[in-house]
Amino acid sequence: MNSIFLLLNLLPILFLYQFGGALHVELNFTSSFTLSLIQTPLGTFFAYLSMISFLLVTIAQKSKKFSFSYYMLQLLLSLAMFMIVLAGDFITFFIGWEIMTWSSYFIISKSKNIDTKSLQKYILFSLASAFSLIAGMVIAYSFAHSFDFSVISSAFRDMPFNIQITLIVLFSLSFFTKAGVIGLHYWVVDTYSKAPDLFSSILSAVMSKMGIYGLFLIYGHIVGYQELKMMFGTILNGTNFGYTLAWIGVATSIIATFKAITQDEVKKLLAYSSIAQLGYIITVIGFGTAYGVAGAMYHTLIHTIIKLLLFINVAAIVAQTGKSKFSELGGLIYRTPVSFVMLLIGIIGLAGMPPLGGFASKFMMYNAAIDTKFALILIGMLFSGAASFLYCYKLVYGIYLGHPTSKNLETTKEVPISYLIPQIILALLLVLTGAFPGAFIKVINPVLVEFSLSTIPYSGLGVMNSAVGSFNGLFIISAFVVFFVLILLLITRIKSKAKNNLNRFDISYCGEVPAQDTSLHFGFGFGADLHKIKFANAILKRSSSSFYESLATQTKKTSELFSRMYYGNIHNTMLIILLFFSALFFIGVN
Amino acid sequence: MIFQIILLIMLAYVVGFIYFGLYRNITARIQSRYGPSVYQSFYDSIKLFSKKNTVNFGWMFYLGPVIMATGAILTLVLIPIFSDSDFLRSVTSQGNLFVLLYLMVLGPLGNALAVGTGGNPFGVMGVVRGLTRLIGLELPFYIAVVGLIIAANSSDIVHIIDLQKTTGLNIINHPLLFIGAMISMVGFFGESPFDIPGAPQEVYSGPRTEFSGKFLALLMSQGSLFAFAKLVLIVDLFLGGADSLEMLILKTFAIFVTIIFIGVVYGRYKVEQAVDFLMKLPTLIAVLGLARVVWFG
Repeated sequence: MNSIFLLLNLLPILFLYQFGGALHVELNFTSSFTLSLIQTPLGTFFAYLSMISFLLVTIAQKSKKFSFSYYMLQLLLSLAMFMIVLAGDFITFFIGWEIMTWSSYFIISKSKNIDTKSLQKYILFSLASAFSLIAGMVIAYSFAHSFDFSVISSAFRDMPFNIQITLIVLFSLSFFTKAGVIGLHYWVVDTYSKAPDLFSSILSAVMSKMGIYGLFLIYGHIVGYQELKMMFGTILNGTNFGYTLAWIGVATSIIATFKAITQDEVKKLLAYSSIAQLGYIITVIGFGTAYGVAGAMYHTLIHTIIKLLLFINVAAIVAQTGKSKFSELGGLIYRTPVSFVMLLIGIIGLAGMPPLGGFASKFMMYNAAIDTKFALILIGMLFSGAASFLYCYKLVYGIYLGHPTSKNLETTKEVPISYLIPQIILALLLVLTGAFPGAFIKVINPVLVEFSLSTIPYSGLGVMNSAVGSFNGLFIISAFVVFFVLILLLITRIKSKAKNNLNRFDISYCGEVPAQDTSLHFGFGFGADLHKIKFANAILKRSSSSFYESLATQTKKTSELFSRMYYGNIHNTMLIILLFFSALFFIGVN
Repeated sequence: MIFQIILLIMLAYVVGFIYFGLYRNITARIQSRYGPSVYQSFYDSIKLFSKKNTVNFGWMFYLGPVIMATGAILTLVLIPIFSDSDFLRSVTSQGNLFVLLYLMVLGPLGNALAVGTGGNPFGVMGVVRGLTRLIGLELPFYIAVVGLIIAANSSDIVHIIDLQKTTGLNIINHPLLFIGAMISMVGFFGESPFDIPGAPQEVYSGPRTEFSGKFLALLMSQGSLFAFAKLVLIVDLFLGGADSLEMLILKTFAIFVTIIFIGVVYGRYKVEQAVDFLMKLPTLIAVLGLARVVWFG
């Protein structure tokens, strides 16, 4: 069954490739109601991104038994995303959005770990996102008399200012919820961590990107970056709008980074890290400059690769060991060496270190901030980047390094090959994007033309150009490999009689020998110091759940108040209805 | 080019070790001790290369120090050493300041992996303290670097050096940024008050606990290369680079001595105290310097 769905997932990619950028389908129902699919450079990028992700996850799914309905729902989800990114009007977009919400809801509900509360959270926030979207759509329709993107875009300029603001806020809220901006991220962590392990990779890598696509669509296509500049005015070398959005993004990434460090559950750490990384994208997406858009697109690509890699890796480890917490894992490096190397490549990318692709995207975003002179924004991004090293190390240490925390971890075998194939492909992609960062400029430039921004100069596959400097990825990665091999050769030449023991208790331990049951794994000790740091503690002790829970309690109390009217005496209810209508009558008469 | 790289590595190796010897000497004199020979660290490293390893924890333990040394050498060759010469210019033009900022963390990652593989909880404790400290430590340095990049409108170090010839040295133009960067540098050199990750007497010598023999020698060697690279970076960014070997030695030594003099008189902060401190005054100083750059050119 897996093979059939593998082929079915291949179809949209071939379909896209066949049309080669000229896909245009229209279904006319009435003159003002049309369903259309139009291929834009931006949509094509996102379409390929999501379709290839689905393909890779389907490969990984071969190792476990999944039901037919699971595969069908996943296929439906991929088609919904296909519809979203290629939609030429809001009706098609909204239909895709709804199918995406419902099919993912049913897939998540198939998880073993899921509870009703998390499911309700997910569907409530998804519905809020959809309602916000439809409200925006209806308002836009009432002015443009069409749902078509291009018609709305040209009508947008003539709308009154407060309507323009309302539209931007409504659409932004809808897509922020999907991307998990801080404050609206309440559903993200629970859903990502409790969804089926392999499906979490799709949630984080692909579905959150639909929010990013939506933001691009609104800011770049429908409103237009030039229009945003005229509407809100400029600050430094950027726009006021971009500056405000950037602060939201930076706050998201800093808060989520600190939250990620203190998590004990592996998938929760990845979920918070996902929020943080999307925070970066949201930071630069509103800049309205070529480099801002380029940085956001590049990071979208890199984050998709990394999160697919990490979530598949973690899913494999969870399937293999049955453990999902840092305090229960550890010491797997020599049991599952290939998985270890894959995760290592993943975290080097996640931390944004050269020579892998993670650096190229960060470089692009940092340069976008320099270009607009948003210095504090840049500091914020660098700061959360520095803090993210801690959770990157926690990820690799907690699972693979240190000491095994239980007996059965010492006999774990390497994960099945079907888990490893997509990971190896993704790791190679990460290396390639690091070595040839210039190649992506060719993908970005058509999008920049679409948004009527200036294009980025291209000078070779290995060179990444930006406003304030360039670097040669190919040179750096090859220099790294050359130096690494040379030093390795040199050090292996030095014959020192090394005792080759792998006894993990043979460590210097203050002159003592640790016993079998001495706790030597430091996995859960990460982030303990963080609570003592004032700034970090201020973030860690606050949580959005208290806000939403008090909101829920208040709503419950209010509804209890209303329900009290109906319980008990039927006469009272009748009296209230009578009073209500007589009040209406008097108001009407006067 | 290959010859120049070898020359550079040898220069950094010798200068780095002599500086380290001087550091031990100067500290000893300040504490009214006699101190070891200036060449002692050099002898130690040569000796350690021939000593046997007490333990080996498998291939990741082996590769960790190699990754760290690779990071240090790559950092070194990407920093322009001389301001007015073509020395390795074709190599340094391939990178920029952001590449360096992140490359400087790649080496410690390799070390952290090896320490984790070693499985000594004290070593990992040191690494985690180091990474936690980094949250505060990077902040003033990042602000200083961003300030300079915005002032020069380029992340190319050669451009920043050249600009100082016409506008004057950055240490005079942007003193607040310099102070911020120097406070971070004290920590980057593992000096008090920010020397918690190593912290002898407390965590049983921290990240290097398990290393012995050639691994310890490699770690020591890369340490001196990396120290020299960091000094040259500060000289390039704030002191207008150096056009000759004598000027390079003079300027790096001046920076080095300043760092020692700061480090030697302070006690050790706990990790949370260090981060709290770094996020207050040094950050404020650097932010003021940055505001000056952004708003008043």
